[in-house]
Amino acid sequence: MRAPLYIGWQLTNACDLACVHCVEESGPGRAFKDEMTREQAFRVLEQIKDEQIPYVAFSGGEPFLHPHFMEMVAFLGAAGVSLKIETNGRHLTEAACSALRDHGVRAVQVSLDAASPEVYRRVRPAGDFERTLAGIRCLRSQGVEVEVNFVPTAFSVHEAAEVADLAFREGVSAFYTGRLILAGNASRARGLAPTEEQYRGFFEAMRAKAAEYKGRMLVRCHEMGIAEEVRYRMANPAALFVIIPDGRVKLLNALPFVCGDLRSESLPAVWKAFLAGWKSPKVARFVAEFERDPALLQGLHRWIRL
Amino acid sequence: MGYAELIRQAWRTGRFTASPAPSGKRLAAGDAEGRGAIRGEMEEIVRRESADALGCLGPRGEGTMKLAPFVKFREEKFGAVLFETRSEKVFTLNPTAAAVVREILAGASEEDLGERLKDRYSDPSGKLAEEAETLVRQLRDKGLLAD
Repeated sequence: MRAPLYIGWQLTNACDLACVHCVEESGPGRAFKDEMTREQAFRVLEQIKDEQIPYVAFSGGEPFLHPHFMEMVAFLGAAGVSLKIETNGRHLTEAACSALRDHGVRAVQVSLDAASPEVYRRVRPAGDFERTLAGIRCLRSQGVEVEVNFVPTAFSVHEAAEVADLAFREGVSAFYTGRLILAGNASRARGLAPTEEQYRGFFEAMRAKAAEYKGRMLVRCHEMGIAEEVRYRMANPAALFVIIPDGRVKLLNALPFVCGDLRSESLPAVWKAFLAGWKSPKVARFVAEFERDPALLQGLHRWIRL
Repeated sequence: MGYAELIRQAWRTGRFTASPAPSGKRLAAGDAEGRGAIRGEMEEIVRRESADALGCLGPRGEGTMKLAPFVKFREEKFGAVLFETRSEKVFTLNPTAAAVVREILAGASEEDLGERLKDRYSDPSGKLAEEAETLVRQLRDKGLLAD
């Protein structure tokens, strides 16, 4: 492959929510000090177009908080790149939804981790369940495809099936979920992870929902643990890399390894380093240690340059 | 009307309207640097719009095929890839399959696909046309072609 097929781009580390289960260290006022400037970000966008990267996902933090978010969406839309936005759902005004439609956004993935306002507020303090639902409805009314992401916690996992039903009723096209990843903010909260018994019930419920909505709404639940996932990725690296807000590029979101910096290196050069990076003994050693000690994941944001 | 739609309309109708440069600046006769910059910009625009143009060129009559929305095609050394970005599935194509998809992007119909391939490539046995027919069926089964 001459270039990545898919780029996950965390536009900013800032977020207007401080979710207990966040895999990143995002939150209000948590933007990196050296996030890419407009000029640097547009140099990357130009390269995405030139290298014909077919698919990009903007996430964060909260991507809507990036000062040039809609301008960047417009650029990729005009370049014919398929674009997905991953958002907390707080900024889906009518004007924003119609702009996303006009720019040909492929889908907006909204995080919805509860079926009731009470549980939602526990997972997302200061979050507004009704506002998120209104955002989903606004997207649908504008004809924008919506996907839902559900992250289970010990106190919300029982609502997973109900959220899938709610998503289906709201016209959502895909429901994604899996195990909670104990990194970022999630690594600091006690008693957050569902028990194995809760996971068993959750996976069973998700398999039932996948069968129930087959052909009508995709229900995809990653039952694989993060260690297995990383091991699998090491054997089968995806043509996907992750850009963090300061322009550095990671091998995989669940690994601390950085293979390049798009502020100073070209995208093709970073792609070469990415392919070589997966073969690095440092990565193999980390993955082997990680299987023995999952707590290593807590150091996910102390990046290691390959 | 947005820029992309304007371009599509121009390709469909064949009507192109040039507007004066907004800055009103004119190039001096010997301004080679300026001409080079304009040429670069024009080449850039052509490159950017070529994907759209491929989808709009030629008569799109009955039976004309096109890729489904959000299916992206990229040439590779080994042939090409089709990326269905809704299901996030990637399909690798050998050079023959890549040639078929290129014809689809250029506006081939199921009826004339074989002839178009014959015109472009040597196919005395008709094997290429046969393989193309099978590929089109597979693309349709996988939802990669728009109805």
